[in-house]
This record gives sequence, C-alpha cells and structure tokens, in this order.
Amino acid sequence: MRSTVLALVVGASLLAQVPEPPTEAFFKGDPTQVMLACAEKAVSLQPRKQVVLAQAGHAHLIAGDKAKAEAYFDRSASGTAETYRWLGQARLECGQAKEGIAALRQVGGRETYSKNAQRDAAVVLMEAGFPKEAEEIMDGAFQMGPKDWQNVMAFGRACLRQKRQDLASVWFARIMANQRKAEGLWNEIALAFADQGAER
Amino acid sequence: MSPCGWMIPICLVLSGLLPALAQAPETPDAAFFAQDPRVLMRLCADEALRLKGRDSHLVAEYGDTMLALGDRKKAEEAFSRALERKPNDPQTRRLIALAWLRHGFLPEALRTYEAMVTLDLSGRYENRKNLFTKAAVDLLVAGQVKVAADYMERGFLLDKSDAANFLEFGRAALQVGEKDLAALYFTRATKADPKDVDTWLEITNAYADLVLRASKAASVPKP
Repeated sequence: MRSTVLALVVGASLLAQVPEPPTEAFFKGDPTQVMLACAEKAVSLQPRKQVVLAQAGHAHLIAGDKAKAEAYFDRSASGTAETYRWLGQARLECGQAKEGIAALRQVGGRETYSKNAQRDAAVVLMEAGFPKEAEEIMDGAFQMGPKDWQNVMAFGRACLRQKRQDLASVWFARIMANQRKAEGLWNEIALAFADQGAER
Repeated sequence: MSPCGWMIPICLVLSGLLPALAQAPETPDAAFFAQDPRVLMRLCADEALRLKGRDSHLVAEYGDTMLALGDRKKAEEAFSRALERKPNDPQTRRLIALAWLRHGFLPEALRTYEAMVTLDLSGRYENRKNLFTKAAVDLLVAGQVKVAADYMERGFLLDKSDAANFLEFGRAALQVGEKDLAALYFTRATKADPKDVDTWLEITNAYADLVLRASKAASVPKP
C-alpha cells in the first residue's frame, strides 16, 4: 500500500514538470498538469519569495491537492499584502469562504501603504458575492487614498459586474465629493456603465 | 389657430431642448448615479467633454459611449474630431477601433485597426510591435481569431524576444478557448524569457483561470 501511494506521488510530481526547452505540445497538454508544472517552475526560480509560494499554493488548491497547497500557504505566511490577497483569493475560489475572508481582511494590516492590494481584495470579495466584506475592505483602501479615483472606479466596475448599481452609486458619489474635476473621472464613469462593468 | 394649437409646437420645441439642457449636478450624490444607466451615461459623457473636450482620447471615448447609446451620428462626429486633433496618434485610433469593435461594427473596426498599425511612427515613442499586440488582443477577445493571429505574427516578426507581449496574447487566447494559439505564444514567451518568475506565474494563473472556469461549468446543473 505504502509503495503504491509513493509511486502515485512520484508519478504526479514527474507529470508536473516543464520540459527543457518548453514545447508547444507541453502547453497543449492537460491544463491542470500544465498549471502545476508552471507553478513548480516558478517556485524553483524563487523558492523563498512568499508571493510566489502563495500562487503555487493557489494552483495546488485548484488542482485539489490540499496538503501541498497548505504547505505552500504555511511557507508564505507573514508575507506582503499581495501575498495575503493571493491566499484569500485562493481559498475563496476553492470554497473556503471563511478562511478566504479572514485572509483578505489581513491585507490592510500588512503594509503601511497597501491601498491597491486592498482594492484588489475588495474586488475579489465583490466578485465572490460578499459585498458587505468587500465594502469594508474598500473603505480601508479609500481612507488610505481618498483621491485615488482609479481605485474607486475599479471597485465600482466590480459592483456593476455584479449588477449592484446601488453600491457603485455610493462609491461614485463618494469619490465625486473630492475629485469632481479630476481628469477623466466623468468619462470613466460613462464608460463603466457602457461596458456594464466589464474590464477594459 | 387656437391657444391650444400654439401650445403643441412650443411644447415640442421645449421637450426637444430638455436633453440638451440636462447637465450633471455640481455635487452629484448616490441618487444621481442610481438613475437609469442610459441617462447617466449621456450626462457623464457630456460633463467629461465639457471639462476636457480637447483631449483626443477623451473625445474618442465619448464616441464609444455614444455608440453604446446607439447614437452613431454623434459617435462619428466625435471620432472625426478626435482624429482631426491627433491624426498620427496610435492610441486615438485604437480607442476608436475598440469602440467600433465592442459595439459590433466589425468592418469599421478592422479598417481603423489597419490604419493604426500602418501609421507613420517616425519620431514617435510608440513601438509598432506593441500596436500589433494591442490590435491582436482586442480582436482575439472579440472572436476575430484569424485576423488577430495574423497581427500577432506580424508583431512577433518585428521582435522575437518580447515575452510580455506574447504572454498578453497567450492569456487572451486561453480565455477565449484558443488553446493551440495560447500554446504557441506561451512557448514563445518562455523561450524569450525562460528565467523570469513572473512569466511562469502568469502562465500558471492563466491555466488556473481555465481550470476554475471548466470546473464551474461542469458543476452547473444541466436543464
């Protein structure tokens, strides 16, 4: 039994390898195996960088290998705001909502100036169907950069994608209160509605 | 004519003037942004033009909004004005092409993209390979696979070492289900920059999106 398990593990890791040099045939292969092989390649290039480890964990969690994903997540803990955004996104996408939200709530506390990572976390939460938590985190990003209308637009577009014009309206009004004459803001709002929130 | 007879044409003239008089408020509140999106789009686009009507990119995007509203005449006027201001600016052409493309006017879009990639760039910062990539990605996302692949190939022939451009096109290809095209450009990207961790992460995440989308599609119950 032990030898069978060992053979399976070795087999899986052999499958998840990028050929040298990488070929088109490799990239045309099974998408899960390509994803894992590329993640491992990235880790081999920067084995200590936490944001790389978090993304490798993301790939393994999607592939269903929770043990390997958790091992990578453990190694990426205490990373940057972006690392925590990846940790949260990975868990949310794979059905671990509670843990995902907890990780995304930590994004704001990782760095003194993490407004863009907080905005990304808020967008991830909005797209996953957690508007209350998304607004809470977006609020942190807004307080850090109250003139950053591009951040508000990115979040407003996410609201529109989720058919939440009511929420987008509040954020557009909020940024207009101090950036009404900002170059391009009115135009961006017109386009956000024209695109129904789709990203450009 | 009775007083009532005079009233009708006056009312008609006034009602025709109303949309032109409508203007975004000085301090727009949430209720303003919660109104009918079509009314809002026009008000916001008009206000943008009022504040910065000489910027060719903004005028081109004003035309985009007008196309979204079904006002082709106003869109074409805006596109002409944008081109008059910056006839040799590739980004102005790209915004116009993208507007045509996104609103379903393929022949107009193709003509504008071709004009963009063949612009005289002497003395300009822009690099033609990037214009090919932008046109290719836009067209690929819109489902114009063959034209997109041709443009991307032309960009590749200009510079075979631009991993960032190849990655962008490869990701777009995977998103629209063109796996062979994605494989070709991921191969080219990793050949151009085999030791760049971000290249490998980009590819990892592109396939992660694909796997996630496939698993979501599989979990949706069939009717």
